[in-house]
Amino acid sequence: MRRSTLVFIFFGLIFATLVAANYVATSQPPIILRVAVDPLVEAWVSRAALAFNAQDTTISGARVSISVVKQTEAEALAWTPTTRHDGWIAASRLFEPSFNPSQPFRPLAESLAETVLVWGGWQEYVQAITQDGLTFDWQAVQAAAKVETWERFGMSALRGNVFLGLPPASTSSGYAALLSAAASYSQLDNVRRDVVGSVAFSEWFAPLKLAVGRPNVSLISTLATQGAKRINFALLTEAEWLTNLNAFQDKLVYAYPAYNVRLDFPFYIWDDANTTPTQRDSLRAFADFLRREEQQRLLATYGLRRPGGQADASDATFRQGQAYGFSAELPRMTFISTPDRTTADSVIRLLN
Amino acid sequence: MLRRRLFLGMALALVGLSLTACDGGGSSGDNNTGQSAPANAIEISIIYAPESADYMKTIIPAFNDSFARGVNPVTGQRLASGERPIFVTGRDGSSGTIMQAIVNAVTAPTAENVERPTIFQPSVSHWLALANHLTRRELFNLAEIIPTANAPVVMAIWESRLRAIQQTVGYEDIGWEELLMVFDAPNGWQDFGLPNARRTVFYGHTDPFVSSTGLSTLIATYYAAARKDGFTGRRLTLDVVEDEDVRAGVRRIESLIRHYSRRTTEFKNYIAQGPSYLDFVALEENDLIAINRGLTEYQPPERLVALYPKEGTFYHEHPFGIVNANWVSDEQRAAARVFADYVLLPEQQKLIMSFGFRPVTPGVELGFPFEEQFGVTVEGPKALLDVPDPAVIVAIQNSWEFVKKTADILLLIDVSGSMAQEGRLEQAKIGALAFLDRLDSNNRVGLSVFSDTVRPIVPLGQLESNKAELQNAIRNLRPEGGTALYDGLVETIQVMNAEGQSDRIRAVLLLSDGEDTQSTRYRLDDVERIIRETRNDLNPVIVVPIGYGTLSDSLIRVLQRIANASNTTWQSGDPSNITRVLELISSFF
Repeated sequence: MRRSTLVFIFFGLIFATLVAANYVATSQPPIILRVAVDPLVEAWVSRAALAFNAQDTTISGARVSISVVKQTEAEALAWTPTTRHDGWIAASRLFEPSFNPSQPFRPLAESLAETVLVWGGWQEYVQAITQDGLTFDWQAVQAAAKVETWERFGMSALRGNVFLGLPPASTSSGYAALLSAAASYSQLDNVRRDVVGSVAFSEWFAPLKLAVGRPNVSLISTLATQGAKRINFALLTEAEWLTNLNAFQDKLVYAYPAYNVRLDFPFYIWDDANTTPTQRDSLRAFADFLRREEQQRLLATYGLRRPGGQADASDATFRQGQAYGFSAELPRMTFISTPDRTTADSVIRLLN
Repeated sequence: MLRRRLFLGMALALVGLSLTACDGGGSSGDNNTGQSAPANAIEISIIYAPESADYMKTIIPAFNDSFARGVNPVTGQRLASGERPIFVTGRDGSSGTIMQAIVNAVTAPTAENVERPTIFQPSVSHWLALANHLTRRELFNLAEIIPTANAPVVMAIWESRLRAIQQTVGYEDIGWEELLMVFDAPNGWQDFGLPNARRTVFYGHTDPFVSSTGLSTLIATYYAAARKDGFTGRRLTLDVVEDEDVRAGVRRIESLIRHYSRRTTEFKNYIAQGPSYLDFVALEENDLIAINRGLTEYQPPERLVALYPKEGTFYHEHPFGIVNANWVSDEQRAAARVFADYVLLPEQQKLIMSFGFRPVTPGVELGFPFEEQFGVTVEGPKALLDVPDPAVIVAIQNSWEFVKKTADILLLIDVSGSMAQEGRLEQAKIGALAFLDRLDSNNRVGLSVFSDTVRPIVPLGQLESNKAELQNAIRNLRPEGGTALYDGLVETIQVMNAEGQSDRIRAVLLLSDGEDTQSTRYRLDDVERIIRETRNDLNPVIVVPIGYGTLSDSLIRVLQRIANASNTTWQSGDPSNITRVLELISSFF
């Protein structure tokens, strides 16, 4: 046999092997990796997962598919080796001190996106509580909560009581809101256990606690459908406000609290003895995919910022938000550092 | 003749409807679409509030159908390789009954009433918080409860009545305060510019243990009574609920009651009979819209309008609560969220709105049928109330026995010889005993029978003390002789009248299988007259006639005339359903 024929056969076999390997990889059922995702970024991650799965990514010869499951912090923090998912995109690294030591969460990406807290309040009510020169932030809201009824602000008795909307403390944004309250009280960039546990803070916080309305269901929906009759002001994430602007238009006034929290959406892998190298590599590939420019560009559509706080000012969502006081460039504010676990527990219990 | 047939048809339809709706007070219909789950599907179940049945019958099959075609109905994308389809089955059930059944599944799994759905959609989120409270665990994660359709609780009142109040008081915002002003006026509605209207104010609401509307209404009346008493706090507390002055205020509002009912399904039909039956009734806004759109059995004689009480009301959010129990897997939980996302899509929200619910998805504009012609306003309630703690809600439910309007009920049973046929009397006895068991013990009950003559057997007395005597007397009834229906009825009403005016509901429950053959003292005209004479009393005598067995046309005419005289409807019963008929009537008290 001639040498050239042998070379031809050799390369032919390599080509056939590659084609066969690819055929085997794509015809086999994919390895499905379940990623729990905080509700705040679920829509963005789900869309990205569809694009990722459509690529037929193969890792170590196996096709990989990502299945996205919406989960809250409380659910993810309760995982056990039998109930766990493969990965978790949490709302914030603020929760790291609360991880159970037996939970082998390992960060794959420190931050995939970002959002911050923003006050929203119905115009008339914000005007009423800021008429003495206070800015629309915790101090003004606390003073209004102390007053208790709108009748005492000179409004009709039908307006009822002063009501504040805060997400439940068991959620990332609810916990962040309570940190913002505590930091605003002490005017510090960290929340200290002795401050949260002090009598003076309890007295300051008591009217706020009483003012928290309990719609039992989604705050944004309650605000949009039941309006000022139910909740007068609420502290929610910028992303929630921005993606619901059409429901409120100019009826609401927005303001960034001076003491704020970065919700930075870290990506963790549950990395224990049962986690295979393929799973690790696959989740890493998905994390990398989420950080690609084309996926990052989509963040603004969901009212989210890029890691570090930058927003795409040319995006329609942020452009619309600018008319109502939102800013692509975050205004000056103090970001609160992560408290230790004991302090975190005290903060979460503030509303109990 | 045509009118008679029409009325008969309507009456029978009402009874039929009532009996269907009353079926155990719980589940009443499978959403059996004939679909079957695709291979490898994640199967989830939902039990939804009865008023959601209309739209769920469309939404569930459309959701299933999309997955069966290999398309995720939320994303609109084809299912990825390995992605499992979801298949939903659903049926309706009364919120209170299903909440208790889910609680039982956790705390008393061998109980009779047990349900294990993946999703529970009551009318209002109070029930989910209550379930957590009763099981002492987070059966529903309140942080992730998803509202799916909004409907405020309103007082559905005849437009002429509402305008009369507004014109008399000179302002628009009306609430319990003004309704009580009518009640307190010496000549009732006549003092409010309605010269032909009766003196009494008649109101109705449902059972707060079963019905969301009943529960929200009772909580709202506590708020109204507390505010009247000077309470300015944001939400009711145990101290406020237990305050005797507040309870007295709630009793005053309850004094407007004509009668209660188990579920709004029945009240929608009762109120549609017109102002002579009830002045206003607590309903969800969508029910009011349905009546005004002519979607109920009865066509109301004038327009009902929504009175959004100025003291405040609640929105019923028809929330999806995903059950956190061992019968729901993580996969099912995730699938339930996908179904919730589907229900929140603008297209589904518009469908839900077409049934009279306000959309919950921000940005979905309010449109048809939220129009003035259907008795509602776009802006809805004037004031809204905050949900009290579950422990306070339980205290309010438990107070019901002490604040509700009690009743004097005289059972008048036909024991003529014909009642021996087809086991009629024996079944009637079973029904009457079940009726007694369903009544609260603070009602007063008596028993009379008639055949050739009238015989009072057990005088009117507190059920707490005379129940055993009544039970014995019922068990010992024997059929004999003819039918002195008119004498029996007149003498029983006279017994009721002899008790004097009271603040209680006064009712005579007549059960008869045949026309009058033996009355010597009174005729049908006398029966009608004596009933009508009580019409302007604060609590007129209500006669609820039950035609029993095979009914002749002439007996139906008689029962109809008796019912008309006290603005009630006659009921139809036979040995197979008499227990259910009587249980339904027991929910009036």
